[in-house]
Amino acid sequence: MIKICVCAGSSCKSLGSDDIIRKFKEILISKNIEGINVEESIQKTGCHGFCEAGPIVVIYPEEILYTKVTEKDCEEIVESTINGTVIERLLFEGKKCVKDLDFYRFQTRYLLRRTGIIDPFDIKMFIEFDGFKGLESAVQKSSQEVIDIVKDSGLRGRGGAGFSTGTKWQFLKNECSDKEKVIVANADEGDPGSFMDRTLLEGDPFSVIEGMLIAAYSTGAKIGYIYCRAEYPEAVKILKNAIKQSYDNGYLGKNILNKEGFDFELKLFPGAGAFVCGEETALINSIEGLRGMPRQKPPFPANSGVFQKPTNINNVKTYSYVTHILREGIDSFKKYGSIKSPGTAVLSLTGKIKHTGIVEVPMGISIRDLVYKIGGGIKNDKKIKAVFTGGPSGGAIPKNLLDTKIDYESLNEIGSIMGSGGILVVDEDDSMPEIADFFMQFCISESCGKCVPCREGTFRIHQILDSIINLKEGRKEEDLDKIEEISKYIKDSALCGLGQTAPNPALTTIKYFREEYLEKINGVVSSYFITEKCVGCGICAKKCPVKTIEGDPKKLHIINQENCILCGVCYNACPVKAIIKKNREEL
Amino acid sequence: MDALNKIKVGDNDYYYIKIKINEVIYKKLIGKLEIDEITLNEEIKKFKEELADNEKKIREKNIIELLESLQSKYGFSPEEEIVKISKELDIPGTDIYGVATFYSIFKLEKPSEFIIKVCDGTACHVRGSNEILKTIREELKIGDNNISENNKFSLEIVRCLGLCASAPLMVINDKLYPKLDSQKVKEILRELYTKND
Repeated sequence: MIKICVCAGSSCKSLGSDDIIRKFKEILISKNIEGINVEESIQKTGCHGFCEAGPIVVIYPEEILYTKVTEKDCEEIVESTINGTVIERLLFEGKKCVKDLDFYRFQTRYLLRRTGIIDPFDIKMFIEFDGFKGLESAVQKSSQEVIDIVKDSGLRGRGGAGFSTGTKWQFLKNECSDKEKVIVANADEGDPGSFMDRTLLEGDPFSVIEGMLIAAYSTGAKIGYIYCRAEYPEAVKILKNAIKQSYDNGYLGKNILNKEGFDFELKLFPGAGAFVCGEETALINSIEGLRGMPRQKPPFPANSGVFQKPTNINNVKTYSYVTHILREGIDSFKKYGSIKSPGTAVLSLTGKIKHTGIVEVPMGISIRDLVYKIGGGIKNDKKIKAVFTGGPSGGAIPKNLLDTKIDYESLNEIGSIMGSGGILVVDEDDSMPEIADFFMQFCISESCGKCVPCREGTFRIHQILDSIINLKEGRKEEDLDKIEEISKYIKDSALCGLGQTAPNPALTTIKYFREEYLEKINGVVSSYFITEKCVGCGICAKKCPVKTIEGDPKKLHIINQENCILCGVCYNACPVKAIIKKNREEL
Repeated sequence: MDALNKIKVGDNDYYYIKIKINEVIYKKLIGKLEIDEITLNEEIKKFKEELADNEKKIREKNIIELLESLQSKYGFSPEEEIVKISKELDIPGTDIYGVATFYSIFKLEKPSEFIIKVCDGTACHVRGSNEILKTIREELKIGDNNISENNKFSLEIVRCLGLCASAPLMVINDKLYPKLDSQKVKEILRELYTKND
């Protein structure tokens, strides 16, 4: 049967996929073709991951992928689908099928196997695609057996810190308390530039619920919360519906799967817009309706969490992984990745990269492969400068370290972190001190203010960075040492993980791009000059913000050095690369 | 015992009880209150039970949920309503204020007719969100208070909406405008401007 699947993930939605679905339905209704049921032929799906080329339409059964579809193309798509032809114009780089695209060819879809295929609003479709099979297999085992399986799989928490999930669950199971136990799913994905959790929630929401049920079964918890950030209205809507359908079909509530005493109540808690609530103890405070400030540990959440009840908190991806591990066995998971970091990693590729989107790769893939094979390289064929992992908690990885593997240990070794999986690619035009300062400002505005090192330290680092970037009087090389010193204090004494990792972007950029800082500190080190290659097109003169470039048309132009502010606009604008950067002292 | 009875004020104020317990212990310590150890302990135990009850009540009153209901009713959290809730439910007004100012979705003032949210996540930042912000400020004459000259537009900077493929982007009253540049922003704003003049 012919099926037209339209991506309705937030990203494609923002580019108009709702209109496309409406248009398809209109066309099919007006055409009234025999043997085609309008409701069954047009399907909304979750995110396909290839957000750069959105809105995406996939035609089954051939899996033809059309990109950047507009309302005008709908008519043509319907006709060609019925005739069995392909519209070349809408293909991505001439590749016909999903699996032919480089973007998908090098990926391993383990966790995201259902996103982009099933309808996130329909529990029946989820069950059709092996849904709740992991839970069924779990309830046939004893609770300890389930925990042992999770432990043996080596699954590490996908929220960033990478703590063993099985061990965490064991803590909760071992907690002897007369209070009810609580399971919390953390979907407060605040890292700028990452949207993996959103993709999962919008594409496969039931798997998260299934994973939470498995956790509840194995630890004896009766209550659950999903904490989803408010900036994802679509995910909140989908989750609400998923919870309701799960209740209606007996997967939530009392005596789940007809198992006596297996009760679980699940509640969605939309966040209120605070980055720090992604930290587990801050998230607990937020669920209680308080200011989202981290708590001192110990007591750990497993002993005293939400409303002083023993609590287990995992990232939504972690819960989803468990369902696949229980259904398909440990080996299906362990065959990917390394011994210490088994499985796959779900990453978001953003920045100056050709193919922005969500990818899933085996742990241990090199950053180079990720950027060039899957990501398609750098936009406008510029040179890569660095890759940032882990958002504001991670660090910069310079281009000579691009062969670093993506797993918890390898990234820690070079001063960055795995984090939740946001990958930001920057090219030669980007200034590293400025990006470090951007992250610092983010930390300042999102710091909860509870502990001094984070609240004041980040502000002080920003002040120093600001004086360097804006070439203020009094900046000196020792400032960099000062930043390193303050960073050390913050790392040692901040209360929560977010504070402790806040200096990472500044530290790693100083470590790997010190020269760029020195260039700014020591003032006018290099200037821009126009060489004989100049063809006199006048583009640089037009673009110069201070109008300090002179020259007649079709003749060599000259930069008046006195007024030049070294912004580099001309350098980037020149079509023939006639402008060079030169050290002034060399002249 | 008289001294203790006087303290029993009868109201359920959580912090008040806490202060009173400290006061009793302090008076006993400096010898101003002459009761034996056992009675004192019993009395304090009673206070503490009352305190725990109170704490539970407060926890049941989830401030975030209260504020969310206000937001959906009024579009913001009016001061009078906060004071009313504080009195009715016995929650210190400062607690509500503390929560309301901590989270970015709660607003204490009536929002403008058009709320422009510009994403300044990393992906939008490296793809030029600064330029977008500058254009909006110039176009609508928005000053440091982030409100336009005619009070119709307010500007907010938000951190990552997770739509990085559409970067840079902005949201005006829940409508998304992807893949922007200065020219597009100008056109969008002018359209809104003329429509409402």
